[in-house]
Amino acid sequence: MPRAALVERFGPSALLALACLALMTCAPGAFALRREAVISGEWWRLWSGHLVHWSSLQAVLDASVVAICGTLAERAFGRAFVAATLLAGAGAIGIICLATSSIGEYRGASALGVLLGVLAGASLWRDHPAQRGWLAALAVAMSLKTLADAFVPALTLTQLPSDVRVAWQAHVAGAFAALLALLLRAVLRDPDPMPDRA
Amino acid sequence: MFRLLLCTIVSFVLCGCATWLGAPSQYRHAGSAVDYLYPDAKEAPNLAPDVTHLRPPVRVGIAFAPGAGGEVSEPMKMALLERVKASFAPLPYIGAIEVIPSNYLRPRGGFENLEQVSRLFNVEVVALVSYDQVQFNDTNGFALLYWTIVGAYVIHGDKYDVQTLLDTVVVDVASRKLLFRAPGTSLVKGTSSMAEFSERTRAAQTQGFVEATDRMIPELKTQLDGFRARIKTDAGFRVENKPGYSGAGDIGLFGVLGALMLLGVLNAARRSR
Repeated sequence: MPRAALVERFGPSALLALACLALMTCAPGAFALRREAVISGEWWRLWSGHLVHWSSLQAVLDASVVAICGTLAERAFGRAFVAATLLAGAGAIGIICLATSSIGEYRGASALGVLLGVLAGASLWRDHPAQRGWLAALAVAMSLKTLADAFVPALTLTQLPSDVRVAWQAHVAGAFAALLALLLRAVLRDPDPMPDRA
Repeated sequence: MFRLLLCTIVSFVLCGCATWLGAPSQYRHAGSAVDYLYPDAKEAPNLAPDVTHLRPPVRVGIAFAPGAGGEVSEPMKMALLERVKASFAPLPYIGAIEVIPSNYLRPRGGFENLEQVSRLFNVEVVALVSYDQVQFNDTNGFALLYWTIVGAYVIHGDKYDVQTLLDTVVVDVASRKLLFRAPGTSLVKGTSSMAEFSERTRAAQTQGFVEATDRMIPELKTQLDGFRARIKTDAGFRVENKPGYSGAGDIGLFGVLGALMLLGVLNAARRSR
């Protein structure tokens, strides 16, 4: 396959998933989102923190969600919109995460996975009204999981190291970032951003 | 017979010149954490059996124990401590590692001095590196040829052994409790001509410290892992996470199932058309 075609084949979500897998075993501490480091001027960690993980299993699961939901979102909204949302969303999630929680160090792509999941869900909601029941059920299930992460962490099924907690704040920030991106898209580009195609 | 005796005496005398003009037969550099922490101890320290609280991410200070004899250069100490720091800095339960220069630690300063330094550098745990390096110098049979003058530059008639021991003790400053310790050793042997002896032995001393540090780092990691496992069951330790501890964006299997469900919805929609 020619190189141009190969590059064209991979969208921003697939590249993000590949980056997560590639950095699975690289020194994660050097890239993690650390409060002290960001305060001392290492702003790039707001983005790089999403690429590194606490364990290989966490990286594989997060990369899978990013790849699946990202592919669906890119089909519906285009690669440029998804790439811009990911770029802006990653920075915003990092800032919100540090500003609104007591987290000192954050690693993981799941907040971006939630962002892409909301975009994918929104596109399916728009394009397939008959399936909205399933989508609503999924949204409720994800909300319950987030509530459990927040208030009953002992119930959360996770493979994280024992001294690391699930950063539910990042997931909420990811969902809000996706909704805000859709709203901005509606306001800036299209008076009716999600018209029924059916 | 007289000539033979004369030749033998002259040879011994000339051979001895190398030793008389060369280095002393032994050097020693040492700094002991025990001498530093318990300078006037005549009996065992009376540690209260209270609970030691550890609050990760822990801020750690690392320093060489002040030396009692021949000193090791400060740049070398800092370089070695930086190697240790680089190996442990990425660990999530270590907040920061501060390299503490030797001149902040008073010889025989005790825990009072250690507490001052820990406040100054804002660290809770201090890793004190004790060191003991001994260098033995000897001559071999080739030293006889030093009397030719040229031989002093080309013949390796001197030999040296440099034995180095590093031992790191990790101490919780508030409770004055030893958390764990780890050693590293090295033995560097070599020969040299009389002219190069000083330069070569200096290089061997540096090599000894570097090798001992390289052996101490994995041992420290092993001991640290053992300590982490031990404190889970040891009632004498309690781990309390500080605000600002580690978080993970972990969507888990639940998230993967959700993503697959989105694919399923898409599939179902296509089939129903």
